[in-house]
Amino acid sequence: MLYKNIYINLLIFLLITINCSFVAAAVHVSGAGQILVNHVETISTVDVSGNAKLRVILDLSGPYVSEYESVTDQFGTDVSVKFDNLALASNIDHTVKLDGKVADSVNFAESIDLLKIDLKSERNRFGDAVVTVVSKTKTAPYRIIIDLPLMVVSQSANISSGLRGKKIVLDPGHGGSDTGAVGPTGITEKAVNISIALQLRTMLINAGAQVIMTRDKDIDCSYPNSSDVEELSARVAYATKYKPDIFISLHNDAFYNRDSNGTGTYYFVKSNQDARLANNIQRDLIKCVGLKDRGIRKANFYVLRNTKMPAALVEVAFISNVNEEKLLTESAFQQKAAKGIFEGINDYFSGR
Amino acid sequence: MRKLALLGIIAGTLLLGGCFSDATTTNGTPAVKPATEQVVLYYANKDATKVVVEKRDVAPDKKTMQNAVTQLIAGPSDNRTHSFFPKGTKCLGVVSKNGVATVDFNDALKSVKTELGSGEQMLLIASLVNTLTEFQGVTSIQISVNGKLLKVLGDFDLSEPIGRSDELIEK
Repeated sequence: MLYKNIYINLLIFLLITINCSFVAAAVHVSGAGQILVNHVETISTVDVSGNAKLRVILDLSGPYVSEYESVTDQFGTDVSVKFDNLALASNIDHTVKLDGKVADSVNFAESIDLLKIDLKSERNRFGDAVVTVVSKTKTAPYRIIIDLPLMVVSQSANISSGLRGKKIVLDPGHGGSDTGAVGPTGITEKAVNISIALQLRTMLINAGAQVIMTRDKDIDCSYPNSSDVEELSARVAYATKYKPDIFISLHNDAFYNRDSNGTGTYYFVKSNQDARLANNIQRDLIKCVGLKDRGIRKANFYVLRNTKMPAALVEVAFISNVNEEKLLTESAFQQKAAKGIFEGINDYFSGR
Repeated sequence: MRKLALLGIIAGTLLLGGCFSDATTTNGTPAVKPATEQVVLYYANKDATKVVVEKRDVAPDKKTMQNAVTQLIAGPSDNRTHSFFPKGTKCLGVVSKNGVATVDFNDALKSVKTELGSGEQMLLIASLVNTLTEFQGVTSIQISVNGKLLKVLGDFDLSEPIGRSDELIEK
């Protein structure tokens, strides 16, 4: 047994040695032992949940086997990564200007046997850079990939207890030529969304809030049969004009599996207020309607990411579920849903 | 003779579709036929709260992004999971450039607006981007319908390429 282990270890050691000597040979072939950056590509991406990051791709002349070190400054606005035995090819610019969504620029500084890459932003904060060394493929050269996540700066919201004087946008999803999801008996999401929104509006006005509705009847907000993006951008533009404190989009859920059910709330991280708004609404809504709690979740939804103020998109229930479709048509249930969202908004402004 | 054997595997894969894909692998042991490669597909879990992974073995020449998307549309082999795509959806092609895969669909994709809620539209994107980023070199996706790039799918913003999400995978 012991011999067998030694044998396996020896085999692994041999394999590693063979592998290393192969890599070393490859480095040697490429020139003076220094790897060149032949091309720089930057891509800013956002994931499904709306988390943004900047990716810097360095195309290399050969495999990179040296040491590197990444340092984030104390403010998180400057990240530098130092690579041993790396240099820029002569045709590569030392500065790459970016759109500023994540970083403003990438700067390269060369010294003997060292390449330092600096990523800076005037207004954003970064998380720690993640460096990945990638092997050559059929279609791509050896690469170094640097991923730089965008962190969100905390923002103080206009919070003061009570709803008096607060400006609140209610956005009943769909409408007019757009039915939204359709339930098993033909109930449309657009009709249910506006019923709940109108009851919520009454409650908010009675508490002294100023309510702005993106629609207050069964219409398209842009024009009939407009494209989806035209319709959503019309809603955001209309809401933005009023400089509201918060934006609430009212929706209902649907899935092919008719058993799916429950309540969920979505947000996009623009500041540290968005999750708090979603959380207050979700908690109070569950208390009032008593459906299955699907929780809060980050999402890259158009109306959430394109509004400037804290925003939440509420999915009250599943219109595709036979029981919940029926509930959604009942005035008593709509009242409970409106009350739940009302309480959530109230708790948000009280700083909860 | 070798060509014939390969044809047989392809025909077998085509005929069986997703239904018996487990027949060629056993958990924890290597695939029976070394001539197959693995695709990693992401479907909806039962309540559409997360995406669930399903690994399938396919003939090497069937390991293309378009085939993977076609299998996503066709649905999982397990009836506790579900496809996110509306009936009639067809993948017309996938083109990959600079790490961004652009997936082209027919008009049927647009009925997600009447069939799915916003959260499920997001999970549809997660199932697509997670499946395609399993292919080497792909880091994000865009969607087009009949060749025209979409800016939104339902409520989901597609104004820039969308990267993978591991937090939406059911563990």
